[in-house]
Amino acid sequence: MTIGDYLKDKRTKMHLSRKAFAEGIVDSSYLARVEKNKNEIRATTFIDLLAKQNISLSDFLGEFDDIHFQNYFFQIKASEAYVNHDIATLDKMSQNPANSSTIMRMVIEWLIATLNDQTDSYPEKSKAAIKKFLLEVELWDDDALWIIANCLGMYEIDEINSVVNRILATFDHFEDYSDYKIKLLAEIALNYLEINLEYNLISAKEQKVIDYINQLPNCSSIFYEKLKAKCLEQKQRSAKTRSSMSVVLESL
Amino acid sequence: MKIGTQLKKIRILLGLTQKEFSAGIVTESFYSRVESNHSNISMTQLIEILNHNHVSLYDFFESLTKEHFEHEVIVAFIDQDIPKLKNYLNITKSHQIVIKLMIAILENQNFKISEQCYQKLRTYALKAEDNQKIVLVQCLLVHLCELDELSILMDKLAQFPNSESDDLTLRLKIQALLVCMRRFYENGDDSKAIEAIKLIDSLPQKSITALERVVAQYYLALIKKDLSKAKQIKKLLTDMGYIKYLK
Repeated sequence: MTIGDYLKDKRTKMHLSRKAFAEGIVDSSYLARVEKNKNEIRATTFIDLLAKQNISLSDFLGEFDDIHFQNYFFQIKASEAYVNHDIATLDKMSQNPANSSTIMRMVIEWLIATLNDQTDSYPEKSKAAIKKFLLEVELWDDDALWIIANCLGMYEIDEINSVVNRILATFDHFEDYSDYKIKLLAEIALNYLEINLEYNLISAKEQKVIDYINQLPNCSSIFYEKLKAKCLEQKQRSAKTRSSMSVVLESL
Repeated sequence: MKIGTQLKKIRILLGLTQKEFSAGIVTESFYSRVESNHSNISMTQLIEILNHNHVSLYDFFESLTKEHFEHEVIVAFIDQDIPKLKNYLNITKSHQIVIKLMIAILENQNFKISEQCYQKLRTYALKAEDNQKIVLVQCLLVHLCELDELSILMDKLAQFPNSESDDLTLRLKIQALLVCMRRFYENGDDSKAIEAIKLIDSLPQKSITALERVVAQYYLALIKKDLSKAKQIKKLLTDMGYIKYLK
């Protein structure tokens, strides 16, 4: 099916004339040529046309997407394997040719190295490539956040601070974010705290991150991260008292 | 979402140069202008480039699709976010019935739905092929059914294969079990409530279900008359601003 065929199919199913279908976006004669595959349509125009007629992009994607490899599910699978210490699955994922993204493959290999306690022998080149990717991408979307959440351990202390500062500064409109995004932000903040507070006491830097986690909305999905952050904060304040928080945490 | 920006991000993720990525489908100079959002690419060429590089169109258009919309509705229900659900009601034409049902459940614990509606839900739960949809309907039904039906529903939930559950399905499952537990407890059926708690404990332990497991621990403490532990948990949830999840 071509783009032209798809548009014509949608339009006729909706019983609309070309004029009505295209009104305000392109003129009807242009649409006619697109439908007959005689003209190309701009990607942006195509998206606008669908939006105007309330045709979901998912419908279009259903017709045209052969590959269906979705980063989102890949990330969920990888994260789950990591949490379960499932090196075998991670191995399979890193060797899968369908996963053609070099960066994602490198991240998987980093996760494997972390589980095998072999982070020292992880190639510097890969680290550099991942860091470079994160610097070059202008807007950090969920994919980038997922990579950061998993690769914080790659960074030197001073590098980490700039990454985390950027996140704290950029991501503060929580009402607009999806649940997944908020989870990623909470994970990044918590990983930062766990790395930094292993040997050090809370300084202004860590306090900022703790405040950030506290500002995240009280979603059920990030209860764990919020609880852990509060525990870390309490542990620093008074290492002696075993608060109710740590008791609850231990039972989880 | 700007097409050029998204193309650039995906290209860099793949570790390719502009020349490699555009692969002769368009000229290098044109592609470069497209990436900087100075030129417009045609839909056909865009798809060709994405296909050539084995990039899923879903991934490319991710920020524009409402794929995750259903996910967000379910999460809003789990988070008891009535304003958000009401907002979704206004945005979308589809899923109206389910969203209205969710709002009604959250607003009023005692309302009843028509027998017809109830039967529709039950049939759907039996016929649907998508695990997530089945568990979602079960999650709604546990609020609406009579107590004897609740036992049956709990058994059905127990039989659900854990290994095939994605995170959202798992969360729905644990929510449904929590409702069973609460209702049994409030009706004095401690043994059934404990059964529900055992089922919750047997689910994979993930950070994303930590809150629900704490709530289950709270009720277990109440049943075992361990009032100090129950008090401890209640205080913890209050301090963290999560007390509403106990209701």
